[in-house]
Amino acid sequence: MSLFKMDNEMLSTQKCYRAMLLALCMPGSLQKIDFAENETDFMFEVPPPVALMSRTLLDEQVSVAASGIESKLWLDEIITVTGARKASMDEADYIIASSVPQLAELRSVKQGTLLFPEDGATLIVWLDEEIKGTAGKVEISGPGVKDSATLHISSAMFSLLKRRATIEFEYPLGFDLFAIGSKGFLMGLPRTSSVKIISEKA
Amino acid sequence: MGYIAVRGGEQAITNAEILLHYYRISGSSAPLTTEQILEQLPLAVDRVMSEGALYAPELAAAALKQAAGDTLEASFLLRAHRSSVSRIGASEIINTERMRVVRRISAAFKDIPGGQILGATPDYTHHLIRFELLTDEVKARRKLTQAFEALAQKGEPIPDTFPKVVSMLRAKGLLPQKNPKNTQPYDITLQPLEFPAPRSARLQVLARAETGGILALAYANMRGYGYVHPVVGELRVGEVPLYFKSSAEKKDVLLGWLRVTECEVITRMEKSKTDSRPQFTLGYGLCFGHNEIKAISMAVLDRALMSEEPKSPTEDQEFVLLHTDGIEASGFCLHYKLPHYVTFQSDLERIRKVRTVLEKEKVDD
Amino acid sequence: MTEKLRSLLDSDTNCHYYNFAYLNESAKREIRRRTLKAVAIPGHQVPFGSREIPITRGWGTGGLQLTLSLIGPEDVLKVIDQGCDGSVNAVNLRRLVTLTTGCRTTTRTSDATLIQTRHRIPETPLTRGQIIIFQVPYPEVLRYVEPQETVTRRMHAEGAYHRMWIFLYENVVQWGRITIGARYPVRVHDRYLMDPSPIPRWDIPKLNQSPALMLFGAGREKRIYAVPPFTKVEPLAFKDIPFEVEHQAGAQCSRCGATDVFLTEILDKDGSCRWICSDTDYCDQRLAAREKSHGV
Repeated sequence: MSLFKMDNEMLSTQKCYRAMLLALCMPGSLQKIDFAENETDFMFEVPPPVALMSRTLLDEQVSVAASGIESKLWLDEIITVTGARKASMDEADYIIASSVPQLAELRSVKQGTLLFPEDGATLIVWLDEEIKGTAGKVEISGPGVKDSATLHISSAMFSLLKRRATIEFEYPLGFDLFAIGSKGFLMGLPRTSSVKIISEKA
Repeated sequence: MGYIAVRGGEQAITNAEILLHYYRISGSSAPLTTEQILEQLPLAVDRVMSEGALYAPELAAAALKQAAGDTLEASFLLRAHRSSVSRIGASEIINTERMRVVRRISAAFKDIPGGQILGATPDYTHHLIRFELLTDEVKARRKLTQAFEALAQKGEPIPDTFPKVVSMLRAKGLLPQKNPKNTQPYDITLQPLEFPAPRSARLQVLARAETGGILALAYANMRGYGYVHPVVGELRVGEVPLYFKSSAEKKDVLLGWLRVTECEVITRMEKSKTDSRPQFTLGYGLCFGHNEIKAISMAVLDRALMSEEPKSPTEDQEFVLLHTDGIEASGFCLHYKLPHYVTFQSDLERIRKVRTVLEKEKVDD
Repeated sequence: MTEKLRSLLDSDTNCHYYNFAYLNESAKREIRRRTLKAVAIPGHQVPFGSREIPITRGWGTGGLQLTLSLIGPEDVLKVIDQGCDGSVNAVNLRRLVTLTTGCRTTTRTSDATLIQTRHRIPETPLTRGQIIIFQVPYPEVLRYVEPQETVTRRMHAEGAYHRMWIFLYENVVQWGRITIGARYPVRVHDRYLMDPSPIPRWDIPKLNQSPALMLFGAGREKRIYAVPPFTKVEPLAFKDIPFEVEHQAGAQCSRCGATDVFLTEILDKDGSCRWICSDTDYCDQRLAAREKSHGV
């Protein structure tokens, strides 16, 4: 006997969440976001995977900022649809980036406090290319990774990881990020992950 | 030896649930209607709405019926239901000065503008059981109601609104002015409590607290585990209008009238923040429905929790706010009935181990 | 007979349709945000709103909220209490989830995608991709030494855990052993002290470098915390007083014969006691294998 109702939005956000959770708890692994190319849900500018991730996590309880020229356009749509509050980069709970953020921007992102390390921000970075590639080789280790994982990554992903590596988090402080590639492939990198650059242009 | 664990468990709880319903409904008396509960046990309904944190009299009456009179269980049913309905938004601030008063008294002054209105109260009755209630005759009821209604026709209507006693004290500078800033209140249903908790969070917790729980703590404070020394400036019970500003309409929409009990206690003097002259301080209590014990206890604890250096548990925010939610407290109390045989086995192992070691040491000695 | 009674009980519901997995989307979103942060900071307790649901506070509402925020139509759910799928509260929790999701359920650990548990980790090793959700009564391990939340939060922030060590030391001085039974304090990723929930010491080694994701939910206390897969989790111990799991020499499950699992005692009418596996699925599998090999 069933007492419940379910719709597409509930289902897509639940699946998106599971992909994000797996991505974050197993850094270095690639997860797939199940998105519908033609389903826009009033977010016409925003790439569908980013739109879905926004709808999964954002609402009036959180604040969001944009990084990158395109994402400033996306931000208005995201705010209208989700109800999230607009904030500056250094105050925002969530940062939507249409390209790899500048190092200065990454340095300004909030990292939480010792009493509230969970106040550290979450970045969603759209790569507009694949995550995997031949631009470089990195080694990821830390919680979620058995021993270590070696990855061959694209140039966008490489510059993201390189910039992140220059910011040394004082654990438990830090920020957490998701990189999302053009085909909906997702990689998560919590603050606990160590990234070692093995080689550039493999 | 079959270990039909799964099927056995399901059968047991189904039987338990059937039995629960059966005992309540199988008697020869006529079924209670929610109308009867609403009309004849309104204070139970009010208590359930207040502790359930949901103003829904009919649902509260149904919950009371389902819970066979257990007000905590009924409040729990309302609370759980509240979580399942979607939030549309926040109402406009309730203005209790617009209350259609049914009862309004002040202990601070012998007489007040508008007068002391006793209303319907058992306060000055002799608290003796009326044995005629063992056989409640419809005819006798009708006689009394008709006689009263005839008398009431001749009476003067009471004013629509009454001035607040505390406003008059404020005007004289004896109470601090209200803070006009009106920042966004904390919402304890969306964010968990942090300490020190802002006043809006403290009042929310107290507003939905279990009456007996906050009564015990307020009583302890009154008896000496605290320094509030309250005087009831005003206690009023009645209906207040609830407005909502929808994005579509330009003006506020009236959603309905809520019955609330409001209590303002005047407490010991302190140096005012603006000048060095002493002022009284105010403790505030407000709850759904008619519940004077709750409103007064809430006001006393509100004042107690303003203490910057708590000297007693009744002034300690964590102690008061974390232990007075009836649903949480009763839930955890009752959870001790759940199986704990794994943890107990672990303790058994430890005690045996230590005893073995001690006995071995004795032998060695 | 049970089905007939059950259908009589359930047919009465005035057909009020609930959201999939009971919670509204706003509640699910908040839990999901908090869970992701918990995963990023292993062992750290993240506060969350914690809505009331139709299960009594203190009876698994935290674990249940986590399950409800995670579950989708494709999941296969296992719910156990003290290791037993048939335990009445586990049955009730499982029933609420199936009523509001229509999901498949199982008693077999190896078939489950989500496992909600009270006080045990299954004996069958967990695998990558599985999520185990613990019901937590006391999220704060430092409650052993300090009742105030503001103080314990500061202790975690500063990594100032000496009072816990002193507590354990005094325990040893008094009894010669650490006498904590279940709910043994552990340290996660060399940083946070964590309450593993009241699992027996037997299960503590399973927390270290587990291939599964471990989530902990305290509904009444309003905290979520997590241990990602392949994370270091070690019990607090002194060099000369090492961590000990429960051990009863000669104990054997009277049903399936197992000795190398967590066993609990059952008192018989004549006052004697026998042992039985706490993990009923493990016991069932072992018994089935034994019966098969004996050609029964």
